Amino acid sequence: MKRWASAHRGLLIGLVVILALALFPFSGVEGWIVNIGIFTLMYAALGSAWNLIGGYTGYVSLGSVAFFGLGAYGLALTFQHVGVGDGLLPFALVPVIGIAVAIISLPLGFVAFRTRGLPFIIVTISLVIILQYLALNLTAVTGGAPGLQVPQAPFQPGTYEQYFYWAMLTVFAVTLLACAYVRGSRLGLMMFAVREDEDKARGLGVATSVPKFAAFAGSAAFSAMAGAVWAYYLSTVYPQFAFDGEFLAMGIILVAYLGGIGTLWGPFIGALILTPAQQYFAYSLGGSQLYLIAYAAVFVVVMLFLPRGVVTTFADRALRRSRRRKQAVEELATAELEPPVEASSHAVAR
Amino acid sequence: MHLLIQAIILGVLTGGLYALMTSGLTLTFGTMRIINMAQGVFVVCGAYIAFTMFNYLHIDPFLSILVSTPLLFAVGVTLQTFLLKPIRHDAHRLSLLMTWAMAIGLEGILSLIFGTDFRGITTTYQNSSWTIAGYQFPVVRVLAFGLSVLILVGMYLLLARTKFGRAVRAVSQRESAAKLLGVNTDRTAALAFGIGAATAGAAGAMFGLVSSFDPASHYDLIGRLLAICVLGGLGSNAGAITGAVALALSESLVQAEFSPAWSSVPFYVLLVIVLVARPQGLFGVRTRGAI
Amino acid sequence: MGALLEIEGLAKRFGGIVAVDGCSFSVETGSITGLIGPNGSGKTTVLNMLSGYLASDAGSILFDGKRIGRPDPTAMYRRGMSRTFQRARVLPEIDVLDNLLVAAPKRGLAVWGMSKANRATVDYAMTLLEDFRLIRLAEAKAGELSYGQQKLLEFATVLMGQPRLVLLDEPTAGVNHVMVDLMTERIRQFHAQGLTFLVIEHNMEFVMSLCNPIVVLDHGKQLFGGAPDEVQQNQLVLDAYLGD
Repeated sequence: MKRWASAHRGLLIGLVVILALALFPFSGVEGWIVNIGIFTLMYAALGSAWNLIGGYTGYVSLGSVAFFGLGAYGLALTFQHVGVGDGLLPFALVPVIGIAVAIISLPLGFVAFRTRGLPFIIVTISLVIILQYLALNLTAVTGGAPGLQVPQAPFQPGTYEQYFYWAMLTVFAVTLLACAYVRGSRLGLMMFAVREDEDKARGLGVATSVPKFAAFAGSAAFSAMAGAVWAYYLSTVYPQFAFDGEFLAMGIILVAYLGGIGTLWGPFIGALILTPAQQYFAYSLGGSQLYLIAYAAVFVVVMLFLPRGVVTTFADRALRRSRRRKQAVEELATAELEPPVEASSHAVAR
Repeated sequence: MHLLIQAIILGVLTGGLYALMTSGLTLTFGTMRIINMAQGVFVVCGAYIAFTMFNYLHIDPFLSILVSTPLLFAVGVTLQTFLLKPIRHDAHRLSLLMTWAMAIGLEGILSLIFGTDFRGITTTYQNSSWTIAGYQFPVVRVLAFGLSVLILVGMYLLLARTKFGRAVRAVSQRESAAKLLGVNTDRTAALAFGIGAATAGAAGAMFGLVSSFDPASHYDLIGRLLAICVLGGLGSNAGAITGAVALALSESLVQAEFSPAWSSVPFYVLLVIVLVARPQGLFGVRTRGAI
Repeated sequence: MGALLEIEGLAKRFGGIVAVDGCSFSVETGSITGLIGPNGSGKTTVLNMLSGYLASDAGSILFDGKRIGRPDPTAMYRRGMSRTFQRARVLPEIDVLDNLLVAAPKRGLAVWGMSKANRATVDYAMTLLEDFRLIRLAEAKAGELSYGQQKLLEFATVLMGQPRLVLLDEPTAGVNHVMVDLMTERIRQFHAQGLTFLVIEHNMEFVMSLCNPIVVLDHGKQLFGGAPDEVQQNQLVLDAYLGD
């Protein structure tokens, strides 16, 4: 048992955290706090999904929000044209929408992956703009600017938020599980290789399109699932929010940066810090101009003072401490290989 | 046919203005290897400066360029110094969010001062136009086009003929080498960012004349400018100009022949086609598979 | 034994500059072939075309008797030809062991497994790390290694694919003599196990003691090919080097 526990320490921590999060609504908190919880988990899920493509594969994408919006519209359209009952039943649709959006993402990925680096970022920005544009103008399908209505769920007022909280938590947990799988697997190794040096990776026999498309489609699926739950929760979808390139798209990335790009828990920790703060600003400053300025200030502070993220910064500190202990051994190892001469040739080579 | 040629005239005239806005983006990309997400908001700032000077001081918007350009230059240099210089060690990762923060921060400040209503600048010559061979040449657009071309030529000369231009070219080729050769890379970056913002300031005054705007207009603008850059090839001036004209031309054609609601569609379709066929953009240099 | 690699009339121009101009030579199975030439003679360009990083303008490449139409880095690695880079390229932010595991050939469904690699692959990677004296650094990030260690790591990495031909681009550049000795030892060891090498190098002492035959390139063409002592006595080769 003890050995199993140490080998699966990460899994245990994850279970405990998710369980604690699941019990949170029972602690007697009011509906508006659960509401903040839903948004926090949404950002955590979106941030983790972004991490797959932006953090692990190194392709900084602003496209998450495009798939979030597709998921939201997907749910609303299914309600409208198919009829999916009410209550908890629509939640069963969420994974289906995730898979559907993942499939839609593949041809989009084909175009986007023609580029890399900064052009890739711009192409994904364009994707969001195009979809927002279509949502606004394909009025017959999307309802144009006012958007689509989703029938409100028939939950009791006191517990209304809880169901959506758990649904969003499930989306986050699934995303986190996928990230954990990727990090320990061959697929994740290939993603990291693409991030580190894509051309070198190709020369090592890595079929780079496999990790790239897997990350892109996976990220799309989880983002879409979050979008579908969100649409049901607010019982409305409209272009400005569903394909919000201004706040949501950048907010997702900021959450990942604040927590630590490429780390497992980073986006969650980033969301935990940022989303309540953001909701607080939104309540206290309203939709006013000060909100924009405060939001920008948060970006600036994070970029200036925590550019590597909370998790990365602390992990490095812990690593350095344990390194110091190991250093004696290390020095021995390097000494036999590295006489002082190396230092000068090193400098030249760089 | 008449309508078509008229649309082409309007498209080309507007394209010149977009080209001016995009040139600043190209300059900052060339020197700092970053995408300046705040370029759109700089343009909107220029529009508000022209708006204020026209409404309160009754100064012609074209003259207000003389104010908006140095003002935005100062804003650009200040922002670069305090917000971008500290993160230059990791600029390619952090600058996206940092320049975006500048954009929404400035949007907030503009909303605070001017409110969020749509504004426009209504001059006496707003609706007048010259008629040549039966085609309309709106005065505002012709002047804006002429001035944009003039500023672009000035930029070209600045880059081709001056010491600063040589420094910019050196930095964009290889920063470490430029440093060794005694180029002050920090100062070059600050100047380049400032000049990029200044072109936006100049373009903004004219943008305020040809279309109405609110503080959030920058979002729509930056989307277009970035798409122009990718279509033409990031970092290429010829590409930026071609992309800008392609955008304005396709918009004006669809508006005239079809419907304003769909005006951006052909441009984005073109963008997708170009990316699939030629990922580096029309004028870009292919760097894939670089050793 | 026959030729493992034959190139015929390979050419490449960059704009107006002719980098490789109808270059032809072959690498015999089981040899350590050296590829030398003055700076700018097109050695690295040839390597880039062979390994699929650069499209050639003309010429043909035969590997293991099969004509390679358009070489692609991934495909070439899987066919059994792998390379290192002049300036060591490792994956800096992932650890040393993972650098090796990523290079283990896997395809199809095996990619989707739960673990990074199976036991045997990990064992083989550890053996290589042992050979290259990097075992204690297995958990360090590759970017934290010294430059010399990175060159060793890169060499070890390309061996993960069980290649038949390894192209080494200046394995000793910027590396101290202890590392050079270790590098030489490893090349000999794997050569003895049947591996074929094509080595680009400027360090003449290293080339002359290790390689046979040696191909001399000048201005993108083969100038001479032969045993080390023949190369050393050849007037054309001396002119090419001294004439510059």
